[in-house]
Amino acid sequence: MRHEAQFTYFCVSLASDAFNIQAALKTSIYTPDPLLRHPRKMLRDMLADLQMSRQLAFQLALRDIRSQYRQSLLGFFWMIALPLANALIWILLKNTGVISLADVEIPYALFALSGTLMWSVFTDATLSPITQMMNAKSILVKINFPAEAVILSGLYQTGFQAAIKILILFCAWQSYGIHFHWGWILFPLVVMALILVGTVLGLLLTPAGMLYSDIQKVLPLALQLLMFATPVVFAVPAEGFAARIFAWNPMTPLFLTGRHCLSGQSAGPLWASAMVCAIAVLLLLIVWVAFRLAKPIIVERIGA
Amino acid sequence: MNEILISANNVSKKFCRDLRTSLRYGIRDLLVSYTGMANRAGAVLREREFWAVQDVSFKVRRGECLGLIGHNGSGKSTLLKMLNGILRPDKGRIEMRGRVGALIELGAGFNPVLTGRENIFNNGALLGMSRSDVRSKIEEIVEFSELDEFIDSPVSFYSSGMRMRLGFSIAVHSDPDILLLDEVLAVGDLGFALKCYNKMDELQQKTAMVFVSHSMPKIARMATGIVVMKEGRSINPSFDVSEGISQYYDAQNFTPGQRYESGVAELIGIALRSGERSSQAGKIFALSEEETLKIDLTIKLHRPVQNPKLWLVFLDREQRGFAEVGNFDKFHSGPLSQGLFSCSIELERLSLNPGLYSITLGLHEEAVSGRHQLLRIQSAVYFKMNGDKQGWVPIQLPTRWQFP
Repeated sequence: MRHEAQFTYFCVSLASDAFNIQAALKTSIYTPDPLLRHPRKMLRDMLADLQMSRQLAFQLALRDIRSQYRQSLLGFFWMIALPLANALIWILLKNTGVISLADVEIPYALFALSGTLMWSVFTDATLSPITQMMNAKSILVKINFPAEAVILSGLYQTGFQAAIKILILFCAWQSYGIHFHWGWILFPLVVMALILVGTVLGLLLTPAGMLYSDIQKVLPLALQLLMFATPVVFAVPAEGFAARIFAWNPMTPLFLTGRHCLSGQSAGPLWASAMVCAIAVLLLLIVWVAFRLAKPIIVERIGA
Repeated sequence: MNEILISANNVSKKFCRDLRTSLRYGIRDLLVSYTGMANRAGAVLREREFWAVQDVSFKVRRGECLGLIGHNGSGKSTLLKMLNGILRPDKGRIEMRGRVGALIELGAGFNPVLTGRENIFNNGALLGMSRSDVRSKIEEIVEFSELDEFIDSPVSFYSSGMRMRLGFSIAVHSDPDILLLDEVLAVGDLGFALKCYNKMDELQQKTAMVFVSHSMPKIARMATGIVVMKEGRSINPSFDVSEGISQYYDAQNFTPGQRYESGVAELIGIALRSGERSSQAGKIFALSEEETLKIDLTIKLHRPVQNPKLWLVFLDREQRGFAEVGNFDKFHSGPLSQGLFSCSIELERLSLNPGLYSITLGLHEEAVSGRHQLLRIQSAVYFKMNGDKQGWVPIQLPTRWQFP
């Protein structure tokens, strides 16, 4: 055959090199065996993939952020336009007396703005895994790379937007005469907790959501409803059925703590928030495993 | 021998014909995978499922190139996706050793708004290159892609050929141990295609390649072994290149191609003859190298033709002409009269490689106003050449060797 000569030549010239290469080669094995059968290997793979994903995720996030705002005049403004408009509507509704809301301890404008911006961070985080995965569909079926990178890239983007929102909140607070204090250092942690909870929820829904588009359609609506069970634009009701819902909503302590951090009045329900975070971290690990198991099945079904 | 980089053992994969059922099975498989138990439904066919790849096994060593051929839907791409780890096999086992570079679709993941340079970083990262890897190779990548002045323009301004060039350039510069190629070189101009093949020759010494193509000359040029896929199965257990290519062609249907008859002339009959044997309807005429081929033609003319020119072109299986007969006017002068016209063309000792060939024929009239086509019949007749020579071009030149 034609390559025989090349072959022999190659064997001779590379014999020593080949031996060295052999030692360093990474082997991938693909079988139909259930992945959960080897939990230790799976955990190792998960960590390795996460490690590998970091740079790729950063690259993907950079790509998305750049391309999103390069083709727009107002650019980054769009990131905060929606929560800003949302806050404005509620401020108008309250000030014109169209609706009456229980009084809050801080100026209502600050209350509403902090609420809607924190809420938008949460919804960004919730929608991000499924949106990112859907956008990456075409490369997922063509290139083999850790899907964690896609999720992580969404996380980076949410984080980037959250950072800008935090800065805006600081500015707003400043303009009302409340200056930097220790709570402001804590506030980004609360925002991270919001992202964490949102990611857990979003990642949980991603596998089914990629197969059936229904979930993607119903999610924004469900989030809208959830907003009214969370102290976003009005305070926690004192009593009644609504009060019970608010009490059970894991988002409530996070929002209360967040606002308290900004106003610096008191620590807020810190312990409850810490509990929510701890549970969320645990759940994150579980939904991550579920996501990994689902990935090959999803890629196969959404195929080509 | 070099080390084995790819090994596939009895690999199978099934698909579902219907989307809704497929999604339902997907949810079911998902739930089963959460229990950690083996999926019993994995190894058998459920309703509306079929094997897209069934029991395929092969090994590829460093320095070898496995050609993967077969008709559309025969399972080539599915197999390639399993090798790449995108799809999990339903049965069997695949072992891939080393870094895998896959050119399944060039430029997958390009973002149109970003510049070529930015996309090199993105695509490189997707293929597993670190930022520093990309930085150290970016000049080489840009140079190979021949995009110098456009590299800082958004990719949406690129032509499809430019995108392909950039995609190929990134993929081959990612230093793979294993290279999977899916019919990616079908686009692009000739110059660049040649450059790609040279690059692949260069890479072949260091990598194990799997190459999917419908172009047999390309397969013959690259492959050291061949897997022929037919309805999900591999039908070429010996992996032999020439045999595989014949098997691929044998599965094709060969029928006469397009007919053009102007109304002035029509082909009544074309028959092949050799010695006592002559061609029969519905069967492909076989010929061995030592024999003389005779072609009998009968054409009906509806009016006299003043300056006729009858010609024949020999085509290979790829429908490419490689030889022609154009000396009609040396043997025949003057007009052809109305009515039936018959002739016989004799070809001595056709030194063609074994394989299937066809003959296209045509009739022209040279008039003052120009050349008029009266008749043209693409692949009017097929014949098969038997012999023991093997080669990947049609003609064997009769030569004399001397050893001083």
